[in-house]
Amino acid sequence: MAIGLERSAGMSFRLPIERAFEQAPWRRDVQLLTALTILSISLLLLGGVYVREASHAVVAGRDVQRLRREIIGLRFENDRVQAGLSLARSAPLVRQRATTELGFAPMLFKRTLFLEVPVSFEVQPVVAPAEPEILPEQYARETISAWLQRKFTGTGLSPGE
Amino acid sequence: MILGLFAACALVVVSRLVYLPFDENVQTKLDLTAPRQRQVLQPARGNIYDRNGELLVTNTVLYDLAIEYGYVTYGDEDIDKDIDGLDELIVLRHIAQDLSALLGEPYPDVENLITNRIYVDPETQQEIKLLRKTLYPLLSVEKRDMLQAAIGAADKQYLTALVLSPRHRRIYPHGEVAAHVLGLTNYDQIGFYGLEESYNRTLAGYTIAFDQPLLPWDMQYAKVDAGADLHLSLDLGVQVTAEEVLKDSLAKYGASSGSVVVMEPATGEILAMASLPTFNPNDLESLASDFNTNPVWRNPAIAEQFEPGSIFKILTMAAALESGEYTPNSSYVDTGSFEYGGIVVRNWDGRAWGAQSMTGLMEHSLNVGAATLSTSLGAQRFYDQLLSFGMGSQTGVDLAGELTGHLKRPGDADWHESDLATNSFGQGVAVTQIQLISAVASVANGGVMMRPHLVAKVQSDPVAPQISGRPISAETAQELAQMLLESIDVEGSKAQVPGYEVAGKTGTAQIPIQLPSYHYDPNKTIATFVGWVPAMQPRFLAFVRLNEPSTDEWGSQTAAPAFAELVERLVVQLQMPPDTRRMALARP
Repeated sequence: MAIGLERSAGMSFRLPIERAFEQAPWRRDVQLLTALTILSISLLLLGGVYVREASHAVVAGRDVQRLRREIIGLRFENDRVQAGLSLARSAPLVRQRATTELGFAPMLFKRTLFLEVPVSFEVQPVVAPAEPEILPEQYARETISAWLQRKFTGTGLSPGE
Repeated sequence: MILGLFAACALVVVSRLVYLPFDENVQTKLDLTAPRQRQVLQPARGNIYDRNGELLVTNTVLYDLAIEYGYVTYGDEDIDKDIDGLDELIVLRHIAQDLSALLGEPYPDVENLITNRIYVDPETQQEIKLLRKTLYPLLSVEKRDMLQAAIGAADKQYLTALVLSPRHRRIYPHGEVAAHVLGLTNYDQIGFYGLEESYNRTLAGYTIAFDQPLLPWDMQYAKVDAGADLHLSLDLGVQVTAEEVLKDSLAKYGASSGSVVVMEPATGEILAMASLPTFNPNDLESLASDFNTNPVWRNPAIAEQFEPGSIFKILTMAAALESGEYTPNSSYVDTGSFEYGGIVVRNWDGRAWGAQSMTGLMEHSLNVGAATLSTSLGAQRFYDQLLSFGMGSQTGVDLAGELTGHLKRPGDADWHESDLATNSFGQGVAVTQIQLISAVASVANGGVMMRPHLVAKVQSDPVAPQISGRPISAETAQELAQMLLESIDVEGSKAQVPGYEVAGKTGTAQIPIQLPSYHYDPNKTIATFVGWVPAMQPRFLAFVRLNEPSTDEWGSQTAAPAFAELVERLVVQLQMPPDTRRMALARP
């Protein structure tokens, strides 16, 4: 045991536990490499996430641009259709169609007769709603048993009371 | 090995993560309508509707084919190891060649159009190198589709320099109908004349130009203030009728031009404003480049001054009655001539009509009587009354280009004493049609003068009628209306409409000629009639003016029957029963 505790010149004293954790140089290199690799992979993962999100943002932005263009295009198309419709309904065109294709003629003053049209339906008399029945005060103090008795037997309070 | 496996998995994950999710939405073909970096958003101008919601003005879409020189891509086209102007010229010629084939245009023309990118400022003579040049404006949607398809199929990179930009263009579906009221717009969508000019800011909205960012996440929402819609008091049906009656009357009486205005006296709302000759605002190509000089675009009802003639006697009589010195039964002796201020006033027929009441004066339209009234009132009271009727000033009608007329007054350099006499029967004074109808409407409306207007609503905001003055009392207005009704009845005027009481006045005005010396044209007149229906409860008031009628010079023979024709059609159109039936229905 004493030998184990001897301290030779130039050697430091170490506990067994310390010696158990002492790393060989090659193991330290492996640990360093592993740490660097994990760091690199982590950075790569983060970079990948960033690139993915950025690419999604790009696509979303392009979609927004495209949709805006579609909205503007649809507005223009709407204007064009509305203009076409208004041209089809223009006064000169409608008049021409009415007189030539449909056989209408302008209303003439001399051939217009204003008639007094008698009322063609009978006005129903308005029936005023009946006055709501105001029950005597004792109904407000009626017990449930008295109410049941009145309902089922017809006895008890009556509005005339 | 485990580490290697882990790294391999990580690589797979990362490679999956960085997979760009581009899909079919990404543009791969050439799109000439795609927005470029610099964008100009011009909203469509607001629509214009009549009082019943009929569309009067709207927009259609056409396309401008332009070249953007900044997008011309070229390399060392002439293989001289130097990228220079010659390379650009070669590419531009390629574009010209393709475009010439597509449009069927001669190649030299297209080449000249494309390669000449120098613009010389006409004012400063400074040469400007264009970054963008419109090659073919206002192409139809069919042509746009053809170009888009052909260029997309060709898929040549240098054709990306071409761009097809949509452009709104104003459409007036009813063509010439109400053209003077509506006005017109030029290529840049700026309104000229009529409502298009007076409401240009409201209709146009706000155009914005902004830079489209290259990076999508830098985009900002570009809000465009669209133009507001106008809802008019104008009735399309009444307008069409007024134009037809006017057209028929011009042909029937051989008049060179004319105008008809129909108005609601109670509100000042204009139901129709028709003038001939007119124009079609859709014919933009045929319209001259100078929008300020073509007289046919000016609205004669507001921008043409004329001497009104005898219809001005309504205002003279109003002044006399309002003074309290005259009543409808006041009389004077008409000797057939009246000397004042160095001139002699004579009646239209040169006759002496003897003792006449004020109603008789109006009935026979006696110049001597009118001059007697104005001179007895004196210049101060007479002109004050005319000013209160709005003579010599704008009515404030919401149309561009309204003139003020010209009312000379004592103290003005061009006023003579004789003007006091001649002005009383509407000579020596210049008015616009809108001024006079506005003034006469106050008589029909119980002495309250409303500002004439056409716009009833801007978008959904109603425009309330405005009182522009109270030139006469309600009593004077009622007396005068009764006189005008009686004078039409007694005279047996051609303005009468069976079954309806008409109050009104004819006018026949001489046309002054300034050069070589001031005198009146001996052969030409302006025939007018202003009146309202029903006389004591007016629904509408109409003013017919026929310039230089050749079949008969008198308003009573031309404008009055034209007025009757108009009223006959309008009472049917507006479903106004005859007075007898209306009164019977009104009784409980």
